[in-house]
Amino acid sequence: MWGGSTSSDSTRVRSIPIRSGQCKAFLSQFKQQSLPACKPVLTPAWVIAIHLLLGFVFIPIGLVTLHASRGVLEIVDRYDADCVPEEFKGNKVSYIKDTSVPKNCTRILKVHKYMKAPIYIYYQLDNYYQNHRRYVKSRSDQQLLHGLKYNDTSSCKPEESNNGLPIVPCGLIAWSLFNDTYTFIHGTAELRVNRKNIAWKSDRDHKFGKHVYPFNFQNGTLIGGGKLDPNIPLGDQEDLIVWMRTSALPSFRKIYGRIEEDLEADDVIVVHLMNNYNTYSFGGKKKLVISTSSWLGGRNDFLGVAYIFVGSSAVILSLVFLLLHVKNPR
Amino acid sequence: MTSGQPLLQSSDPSASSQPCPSCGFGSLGCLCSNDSFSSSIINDPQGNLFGLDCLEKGDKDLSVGDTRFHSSVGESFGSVETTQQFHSVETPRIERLSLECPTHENKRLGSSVVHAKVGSRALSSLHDNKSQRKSRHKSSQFDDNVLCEEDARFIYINDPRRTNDKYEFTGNEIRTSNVWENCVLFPLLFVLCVTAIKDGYEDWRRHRSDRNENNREALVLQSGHFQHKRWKKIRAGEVVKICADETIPCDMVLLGTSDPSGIAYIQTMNLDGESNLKTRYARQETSSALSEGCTISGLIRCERPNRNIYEFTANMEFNRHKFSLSQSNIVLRGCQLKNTDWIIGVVVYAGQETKAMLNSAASPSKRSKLESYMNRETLWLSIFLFIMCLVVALGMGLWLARYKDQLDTLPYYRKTYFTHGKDYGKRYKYYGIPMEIFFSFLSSIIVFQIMIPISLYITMELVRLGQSYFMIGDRHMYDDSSGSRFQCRSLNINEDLGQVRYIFSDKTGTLTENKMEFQRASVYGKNYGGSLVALISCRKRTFRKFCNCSVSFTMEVISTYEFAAAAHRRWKLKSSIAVDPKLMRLLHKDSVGDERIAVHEFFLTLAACNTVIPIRTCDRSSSCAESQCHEDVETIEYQGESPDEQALVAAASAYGYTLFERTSGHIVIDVNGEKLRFDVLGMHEFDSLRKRMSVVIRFPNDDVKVLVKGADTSMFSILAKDNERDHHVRHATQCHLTEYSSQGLRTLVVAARDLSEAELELWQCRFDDASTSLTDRATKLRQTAALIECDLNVLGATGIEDKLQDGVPEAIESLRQAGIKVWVLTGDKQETAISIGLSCKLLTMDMEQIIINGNSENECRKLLADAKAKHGVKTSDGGNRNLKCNKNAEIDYLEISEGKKEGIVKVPLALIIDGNSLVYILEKDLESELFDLATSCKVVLCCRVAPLQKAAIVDLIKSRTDDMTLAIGDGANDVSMIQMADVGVGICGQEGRQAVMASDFAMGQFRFLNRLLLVHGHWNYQRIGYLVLYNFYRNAVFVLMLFWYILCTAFSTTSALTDWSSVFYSVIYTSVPTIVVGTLDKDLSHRTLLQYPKLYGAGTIYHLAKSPTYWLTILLIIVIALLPRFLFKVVHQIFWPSDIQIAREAEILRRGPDHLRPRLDGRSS
Repeated sequence: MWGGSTSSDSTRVRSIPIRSGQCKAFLSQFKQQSLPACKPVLTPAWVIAIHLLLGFVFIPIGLVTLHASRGVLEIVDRYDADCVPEEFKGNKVSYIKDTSVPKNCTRILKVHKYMKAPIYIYYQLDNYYQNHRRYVKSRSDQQLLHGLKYNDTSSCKPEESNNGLPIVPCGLIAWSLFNDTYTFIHGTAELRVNRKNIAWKSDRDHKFGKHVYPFNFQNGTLIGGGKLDPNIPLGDQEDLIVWMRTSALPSFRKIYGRIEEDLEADDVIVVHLMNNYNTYSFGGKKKLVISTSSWLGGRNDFLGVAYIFVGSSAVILSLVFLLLHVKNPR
Repeated sequence: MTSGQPLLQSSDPSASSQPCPSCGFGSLGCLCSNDSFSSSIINDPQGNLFGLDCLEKGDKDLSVGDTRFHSSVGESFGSVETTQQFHSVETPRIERLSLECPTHENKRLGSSVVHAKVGSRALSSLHDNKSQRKSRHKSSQFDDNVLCEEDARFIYINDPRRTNDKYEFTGNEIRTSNVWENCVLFPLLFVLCVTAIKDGYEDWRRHRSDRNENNREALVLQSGHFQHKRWKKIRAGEVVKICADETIPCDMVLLGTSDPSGIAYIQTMNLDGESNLKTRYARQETSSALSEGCTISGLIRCERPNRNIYEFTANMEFNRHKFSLSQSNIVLRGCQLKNTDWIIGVVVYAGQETKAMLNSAASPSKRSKLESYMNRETLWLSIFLFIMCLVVALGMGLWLARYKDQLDTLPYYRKTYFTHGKDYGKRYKYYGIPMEIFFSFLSSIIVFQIMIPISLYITMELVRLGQSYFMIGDRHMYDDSSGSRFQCRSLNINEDLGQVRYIFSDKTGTLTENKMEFQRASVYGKNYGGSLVALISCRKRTFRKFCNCSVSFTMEVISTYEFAAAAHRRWKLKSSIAVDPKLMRLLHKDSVGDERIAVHEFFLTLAACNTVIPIRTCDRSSSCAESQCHEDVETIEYQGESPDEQALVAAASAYGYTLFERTSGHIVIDVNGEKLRFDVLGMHEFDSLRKRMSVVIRFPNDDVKVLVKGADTSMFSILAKDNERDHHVRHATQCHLTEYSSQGLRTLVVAARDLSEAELELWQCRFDDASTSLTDRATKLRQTAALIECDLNVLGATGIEDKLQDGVPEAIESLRQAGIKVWVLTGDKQETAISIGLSCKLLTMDMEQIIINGNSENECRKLLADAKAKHGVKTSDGGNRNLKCNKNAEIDYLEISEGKKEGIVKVPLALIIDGNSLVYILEKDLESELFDLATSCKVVLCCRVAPLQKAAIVDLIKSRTDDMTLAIGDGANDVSMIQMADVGVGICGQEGRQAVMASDFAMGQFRFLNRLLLVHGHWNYQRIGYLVLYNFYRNAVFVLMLFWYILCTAFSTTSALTDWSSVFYSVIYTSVPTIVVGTLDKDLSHRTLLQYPKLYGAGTIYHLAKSPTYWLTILLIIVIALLPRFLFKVVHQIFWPSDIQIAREAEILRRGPDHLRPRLDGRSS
């Protein structure tokens, strides 16, 4: 079975006691291509057994992961359409562009089950091609780290400079910084949202300068998104850091913060949000996501389903092979 | 000379030669087969028909580029001599064109009409490429005994200026380096550079060796003295002197030699692979004139340069005598002068026109079949790539069109600058939708270009390097006896070793060791040598390195009997033979019985009846290395035309009858230490009709005897019949002969007879008459021979073994089991070829032999047709020829692989064909007939084939099938075959290094071929095949991944990977493991592979692409790869509709009435 065609025609090396001799013999065997080797011969029995084994290993793993994923609670609330006042329903773009219209909006979320801290808050954007090549390229990592000391920001076009002065942080990505804000009220008290440590530590420490301050930012005629406090260094602007790590797919979630207290079932949470960000012009959607996590991370059934799928198809295949083998054995 | 101003004066013989632009390539193509023109100009007063025709054609086709085509029309003796030179500047001479002059029987007058035909060029205009290639191997054929006046060239002896007056004959400079023709299509500069450097280096090396060759020096008669002159400066018509052991610089007609009788010995190893000496004669007339020291002047009229090394027709006008010259009067370039102090000859062909050069085809650059398959596949990949890019570009266009109005407000797509400054309001990298589509197409090509496996070429080179390392290091392919390792001389075609279907093998030196050994003897009805006990008391091998780096070893054998003689013997043999003690004892008996006398005469015949020349050399160095140190030991080396004779003489010597000296008048034989001098009264040399040879010698005691040896078939008919006692001997001898030949030995019968005075006188008279006769000498000599070759007393028979190399029969057997056809192409005689075929198990007794040896086209056609009809070979012709051939080959292969069950039903066929018929067959359109017949035969043996015919046969298979061919040989005569075949293997044998130099792989022994193909070939092929497929796979994975991702990025060709990862993906992550696997992977152990040769044929990937299942699978993979995503999407949308979807549906629902409303309104209003 295994090693059905073992080419160990070589005399065994082990019989030679001296180490150097062993080494030499090994080398000569290598040169003669006569080192012991084995190549599995896939007999039906083996194939069936392997498939069965695969199935029995994979299905439990799949079940466990699926269970873990299902244990994650998620509240998703799409608010982009509902937060537009009735009179602007027909022309959402003019609503979002009109700075005089108040952008605040209130959403009520109901907690169905007990949610254990930490509870993560994400915003989700759909149909937002953060992976577009023009967008992805439009940044300058060197400038983010070194600030104004770094001059060559041609990669940031068309958001490279304004009025002849460089922009820090430059580029389309920073320019289109997401700027909706959320405040959560549980009962009467405001839920404390921890917005520190939401970005990658390596990004904070090594990619964004500790002494680089926003400069000449969002001063153009076209405001793309959020503004930055020019007194806080980029390394501490975690919203920016999170945003700057562009997503791979057009539909993505980015972390907003963490709620560090448990939520009981049937709790009602009132979310006061500032609906500032313009997704209306291209039909993008905005969602607020509140989710717990498990050892697997957020809610994602894919891994579990995949495991179960592979495992069960292996079992089915093995059964098919078995049947075939029994019917007409070789 | 190329100008289109033809001057042709037909009537003026003095201005006999005029340049005449003649037909180039194109004009030949347009000559159809019946568009003929006559060239019989002798009695035609308008003798310029031919030339004029040429002119017309020539005017049309003067655009042949830098190839110049000279034609000089000369008129003398009422005939027109045309010498045509096709002179190419850049390329080595490969095409020799002659004009198409089909015979017009009615116009054909006398012997002065020549028809030089250019194959079937005009006929095969359909396959232009093929025919060009074909015609390269065609040697022009001439009618026998007709000197072609048309094409004759004039050589004025020792008057090169006059010789070259009319037409500048080619100088003696040769050029084999060819311009780099190896243009790789793929645009990667690196690959190109590597190839360019490699090819350039190879070409440079060739150029260097050419230069060395051209700058060698020879003695040329210049202003009355022989002076050194460089080879390249030698011109036709010059008189050249060659000294012993020198190489002959050009084709020369012998004028005189150091031998008074005008004999010269040459070794033609470089030309035909035969290592024995050949005799060439200077004409008595010139030879004597030369020895008298008069100035030599004369005129040689000879045929155009051609490839046929076995033919030469010319005549010579010397001192107002006219006589003919033949093959025996010419020495060819590349041969070596042996055993003759010097020769003087006149150059007739020089440089590229020498027969040796015409026979060396330009070495083609070889490319592995897998690689060409890969190239084809790459084309498909390019199309695939193109489609993908098109999809992306199209998607981009659609996306842009959809979001046309929002392109500025989209945060991720800004086409305009909105920042204050000089760029305000300008477009940012946006050139309108069509241009954007175009750019997107280009950028997606850049992203997907990894689909084209350029790195694969580099990977393959590396893998082949690794494979070569292991092949070279294989201990099983190391030849102990010569100390030669396996050599990989070409790195391109390792994997082709795994796909060989045809092996073309040389015989001498490849299958056999080129050593004849005296094995058995039947003397006076008694069988000796059955239990050959080698009485070797001391046997030592001493390796000596000579300055010329050839390793030769001598074995000194001193038998117990020889010990006694050794004391006073001051010579020894170069080689040694084991002796039969019984026979030895008999020889040393003092009794004087009939048997004793018979034995005596038997060995005398062996020693005397031959043309072997003993060469004595003082050889001190070897003897000192021996334990018993003899001073001044003379080594006798026998050299002769036939290795059989050498073996016999050596055997006689071992039994104490040593041929010591031979001149044309007498021989000296050392009989057990006693030197006897015999006068040779006459000798009838071996000829193929009589199949025997006889010598008349006068014994010291004035007895005259005829000693005869010959083939058994021809001997038994001329034996004395009356004697009762002889009858018994004869019968016994005959029994022994059958026994010997069944063992694969070459047999000869030895007989003798006393000659009475009267008989002698009669014979001598006739013999003198015949041998000086000018006409029909051969026939007269044959008649004379019949006079004495009768009533012979049989003495015995000999069995000589043409020693096969170790393991040849086994190797052939297992190669055959592996589904490989082994063809043997040899320069030997038909009988020899068959006997070798039998002894190496190539031919078996149960095979039906089809022998084709025709002497004319019609005869060959008839023989072929008969054979085909008899054995039911289907003719495949027309368009589906190739298809059928493949099928044929396939069937044969299956037949073999299914064992010999079929063999019982259908008798396996063996085709034996000789070179003469091949001339007709390959020249004419009989090729396909031969191909049909040959492919349906199990074995094909070609005998008496010229070097270029070997290549033509290889080409026959190569051009008509897809099957891989392998040629194996060891001599210079195999070079063209080795170069022609897909894989060329050289044997590092005794015959020089030309074959090795031309080969792709070189090894020491034939049997290594077995391991090379079955083990290494299989492995290499599997590995490279795996490597290539894996490469395509990994590229597809990479590119498809990018492709699917790009569809998710608004078609903006964002790379899913960082630059470094994508570089490393193909350079390190996925290629290093494949290199390791490609060099080390073994799907089966070498033992298994050797044990079951059938595994060799298993698994080809070439044909994979042809099967529809393959493409279906590919399609399925693509579909299945996409399926999960779409399935998931569909399922998701049905069961877990998203808010957006609901909103959208609600929108539609809400809008529904809106759509209806206007219509309703319209109705209401």
